[in-house]
Amino acid sequence: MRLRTRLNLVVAGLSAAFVIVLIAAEINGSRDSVREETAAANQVAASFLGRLAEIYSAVGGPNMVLQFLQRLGHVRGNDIYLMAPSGAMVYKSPAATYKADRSAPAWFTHLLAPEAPKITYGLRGGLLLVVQAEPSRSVLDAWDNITKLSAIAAAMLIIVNGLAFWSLARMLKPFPVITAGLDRIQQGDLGFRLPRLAGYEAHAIEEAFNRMAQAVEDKVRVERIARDAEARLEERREMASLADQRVEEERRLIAHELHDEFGQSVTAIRSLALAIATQGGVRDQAMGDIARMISDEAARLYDAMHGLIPRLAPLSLDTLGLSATLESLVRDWQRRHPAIALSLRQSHTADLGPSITLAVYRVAQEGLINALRHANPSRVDIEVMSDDKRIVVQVIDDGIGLPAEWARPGHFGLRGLAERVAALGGVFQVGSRDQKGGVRLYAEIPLAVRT
Amino acid sequence: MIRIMLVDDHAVVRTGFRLLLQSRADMSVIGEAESGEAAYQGYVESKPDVVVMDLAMPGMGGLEALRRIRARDPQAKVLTLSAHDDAAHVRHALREGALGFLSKRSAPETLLDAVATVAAGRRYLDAAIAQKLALSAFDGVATTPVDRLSEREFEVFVRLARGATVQRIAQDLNLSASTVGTHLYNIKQKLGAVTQSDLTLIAIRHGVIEA
Repeated sequence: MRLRTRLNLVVAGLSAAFVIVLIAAEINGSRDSVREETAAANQVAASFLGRLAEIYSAVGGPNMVLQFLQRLGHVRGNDIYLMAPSGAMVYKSPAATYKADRSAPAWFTHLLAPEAPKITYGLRGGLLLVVQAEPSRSVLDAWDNITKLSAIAAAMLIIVNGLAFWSLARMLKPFPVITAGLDRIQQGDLGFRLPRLAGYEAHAIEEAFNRMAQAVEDKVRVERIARDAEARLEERREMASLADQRVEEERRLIAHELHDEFGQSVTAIRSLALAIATQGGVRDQAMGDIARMISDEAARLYDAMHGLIPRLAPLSLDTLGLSATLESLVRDWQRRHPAIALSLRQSHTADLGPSITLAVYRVAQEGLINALRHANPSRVDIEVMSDDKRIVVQVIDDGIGLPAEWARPGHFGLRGLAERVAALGGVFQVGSRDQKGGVRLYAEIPLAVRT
Repeated sequence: MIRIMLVDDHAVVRTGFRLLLQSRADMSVIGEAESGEAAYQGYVESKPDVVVMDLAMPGMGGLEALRRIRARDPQAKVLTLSAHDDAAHVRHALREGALGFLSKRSAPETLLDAVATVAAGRRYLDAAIAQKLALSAFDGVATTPVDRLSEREFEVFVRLARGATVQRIAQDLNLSASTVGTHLYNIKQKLGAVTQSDLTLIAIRHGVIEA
């Protein structure tokens, strides 16, 4: 049942009960006063009339009594009879003229009227004077009073309830608005705000509602911004990863070109240079020396190019796996730098996926080559360790430490490594090994949680 | 006068070698070819004293050309060259009848010596390759599964390991696809390989192809 209906019923019920109690009390009071009045009037009239009738009877006999009674007429609240000794009615007092022809409803009379007391006097000559209480006029007065009171009460009831209903309707008017507002919010219209609502509580609810809506809207906006940022980051990572793939493809092509085409050209250049050295050297010593220098330089170029090929395209990552490729990397560089102690410690899961495998390999490779080229170390330690959550690559040397300008963008290829690691959501750090110098290169890449 | 035929798919390499060889009064380049097929034709036509041949060429390749030339003329003197200077390549070339093997790395310096040696009917290996062969024998890898392949199988194996299809290999080597299929079957048996990528893996492990 609606609150409004309920409150209305309560107000109506209470006021009706009040009116009923009021009228009941009034009826009760009226009954007492009617009884009191009836009894008293009967007493007074009876004793007075009884005495007079006795006197008249003694002086003038029955006729005088009759004349006296006839002159007396109606006495309020009483019926007066004169009975002959035979029992025949000699005289009956006339009906009251007060509110003649009207009387209270029977049920009301029955409710109010006392048992009519009757007082009888024996007169001389055997006549009987009967004075009987007749409360109908009093009852009628009471009835009229109560009817009037009821009319006023009914009018008041209507007015009071009308007012109550109206003010309740006014007070409860904000509730449907609030409900509609909650529905709007629920449907996702987070920008919706309640209008200014009349009434202290309604206004308080309105303000609380609007604060809540604002908070929800802010939170959703912040979440959306975070989600957008996340999506953008993801997109950027995908782009970076795509770019990396392209770069790797390109590196492979370049490696292929180096091996098959450039290498052949260098062989040709050396052959030509040596041809000049052999033929021309006979005639011109200096020319022969120059040709030989070209050949020697081309030989170095050839070696450098073939050194580049595994750096460009560690194809064996796909086929031999990370462990074997790292071992081969260290073995290769150890052969070129027999005086430097290289160590490789690795313990990692085999199934890292191509991007992480390549990133780990690149970090180890670049770290090692940088150390060998720039740090003048006596030893370089490479460590590749993984657990369930991450794989950590460290390249630590005991060389001369970081040059001042190492952080310059693009320097030593470290930036590329940092980006590659960052694209995989990892951490990349380069720092001093300790106070005595040396460099510690550290990369940590989170492993996707396997489900 | 040593009459020489140069076989290499790179014209500039042939030019370099030719000029180098012709700097010697006793050597003359009488023919050039840029493929295995042309090498065989040229050999039949001009009968050179020495063939200097790159193993890696498009088409039938050097090893197959070597085999055909040797089949036609068992006395043919062939000096093979390769940018791939692993022991397996060298062994297979020598087994197929090549008298010498040079890596392209050292070819320019050693070519003249090598040609002279081979022309005299003696074997020639450049120092780096000789060392590699000796070491691989010393390390006990002389009889790797790869060495147990026949020459033909080795050739098919190298091509498979590089990712070529059976059809392609059949076309290049002028064989029927079913013959190549039989080779493939035997190769897998001998190497204990199941898939083509197993073959690539084995090839890289034994340095037959570059990682």
